[in-house]
Amino acid sequence: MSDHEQNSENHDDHDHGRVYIQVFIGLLICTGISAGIGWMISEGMFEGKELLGWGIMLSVSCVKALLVISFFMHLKWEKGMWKWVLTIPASIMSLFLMLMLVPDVGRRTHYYTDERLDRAAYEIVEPAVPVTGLKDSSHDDEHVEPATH
Amino acid sequence: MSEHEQHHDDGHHGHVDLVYQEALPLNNGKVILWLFLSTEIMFFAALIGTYIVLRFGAPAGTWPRPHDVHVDELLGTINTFILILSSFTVVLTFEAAKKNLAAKAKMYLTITFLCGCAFLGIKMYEYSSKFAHGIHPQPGARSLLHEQSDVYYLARLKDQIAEYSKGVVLPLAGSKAEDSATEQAEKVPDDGDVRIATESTMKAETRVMLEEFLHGSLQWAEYVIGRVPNTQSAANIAGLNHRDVLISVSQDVYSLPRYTGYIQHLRQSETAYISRRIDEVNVEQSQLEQADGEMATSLDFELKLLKARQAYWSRQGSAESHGEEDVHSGGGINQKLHEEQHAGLILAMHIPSGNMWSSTYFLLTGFHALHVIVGLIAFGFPLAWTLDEKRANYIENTGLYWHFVDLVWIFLFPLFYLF
Repeated sequence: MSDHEQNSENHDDHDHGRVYIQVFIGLLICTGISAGIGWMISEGMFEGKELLGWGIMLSVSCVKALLVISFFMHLKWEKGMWKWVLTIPASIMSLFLMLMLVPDVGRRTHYYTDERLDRAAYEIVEPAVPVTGLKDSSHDDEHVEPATH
Repeated sequence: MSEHEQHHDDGHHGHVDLVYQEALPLNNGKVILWLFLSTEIMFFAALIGTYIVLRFGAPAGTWPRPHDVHVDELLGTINTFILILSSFTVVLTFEAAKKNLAAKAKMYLTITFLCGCAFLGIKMYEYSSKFAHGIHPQPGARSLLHEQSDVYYLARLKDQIAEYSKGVVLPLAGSKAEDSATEQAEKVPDDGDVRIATESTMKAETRVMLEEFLHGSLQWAEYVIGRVPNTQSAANIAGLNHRDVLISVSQDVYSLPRYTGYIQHLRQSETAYISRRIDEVNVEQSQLEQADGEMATSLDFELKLLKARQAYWSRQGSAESHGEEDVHSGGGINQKLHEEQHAGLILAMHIPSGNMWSSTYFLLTGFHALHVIVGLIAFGFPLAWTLDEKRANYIENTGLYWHFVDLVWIFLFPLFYLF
């Protein structure tokens, strides 16, 4: 039995051509959604809720990844346990690799000193520290007018 | 007879009752490739996961936005489309090869190969544009990214401008410790005896721009943070804290949109302070001159700086009110230098977490590009073959690898181009 004959046993004999085209179009639509959200974020439409936008984009990416794995990589049509054995532990491990970084790397700014945060540039709309230090304190009143936002 | 014969045979060959176990329902090449891919999942998951954790952990404003670091989402989208298209044509190649349609398979494979080349070409263009903007994979002499606008940042700017000036001695504040305030005062702006890069091919406007920056913002900043000798305690004189002024300088060089409101507020408070301080200095000066003529010159220096800074802010204000492109929203000095194509004439930039960003960007996209190159090599051989049934397995396995490369890009694209 040649490799090819063995291989063709795993696939349904009918043509997958139509499925491939559908998956291709689905991937393009997903890319469009991501690009659209990216554009909205850069236009400031997600002001203050960037996390939501990022979450949607990463979910769309996961959908795209599943489409590619299931159809283009034929995993949907493969028989046997081997596909789960090879993909699921690796995926779980990669998830935990990421989670392990959260305390020290993800939450790193929770342990920054004030001085370091001072330099870290917030989304500033006015000086973080009021303009002070004048010789004459009577002038202070002119500087205590923060821009309203 | 048959029983006897079987018994005899068994004894002769030395083994009994062979039990054949069912093998994996796929060929060996594919098993190996899937094993390899499962290690690749972990490899890229570590890289991408680290980036995600770094990115999500950065407080708002402390991580570069795509436009801050010259990332073009249009190019990224085109590259995404190219990779998806190439993945699509790979499956078509495989289907055609399976059906023994060699010519059709060759056509699809050629499209795939060209898509891979196009992807790398765009990637190369993107890298070169990063390098042209002073963004390099690691912090060092070539990288112009600064995480903070501090005294080291100011020193770097001064060094750079001095370098560009090609040997012309600049009256940089504090360059000679023994300089008296009087001597320094003589060298401050509008004296007309200092020129940057007179001999070089630099455009006159660029030269003027750099001079104004050197004698306006930069010297003002040094004055405020107290690096100018023989001046009074900085905070008392300037009425500004270091951070405000240093950020203002960095925004002159390379402006980030998120600072626009901050700079506007700074302009209001600083112009108010400067005009009042000029009046004060005038009064003090006249008082001092009555008592002692020598002391008056140090105030003279302060007065010149104040006027230079006042002129700077009023230029900014008029540019804004005329609806012209404000320095603080038009990309700053670096943008103009880049537009005028002074190769290598880019000043150091203050971009929070910029170096971390560039390290991760080049590491991730670099490893991805390496995988694309390997994929192109793997696709290069079958271009010379007849892609019939016998080659279908090779095409399938190479295709699996190629789809995985596409998969990685599916995550890199939003993370680097859209976040």
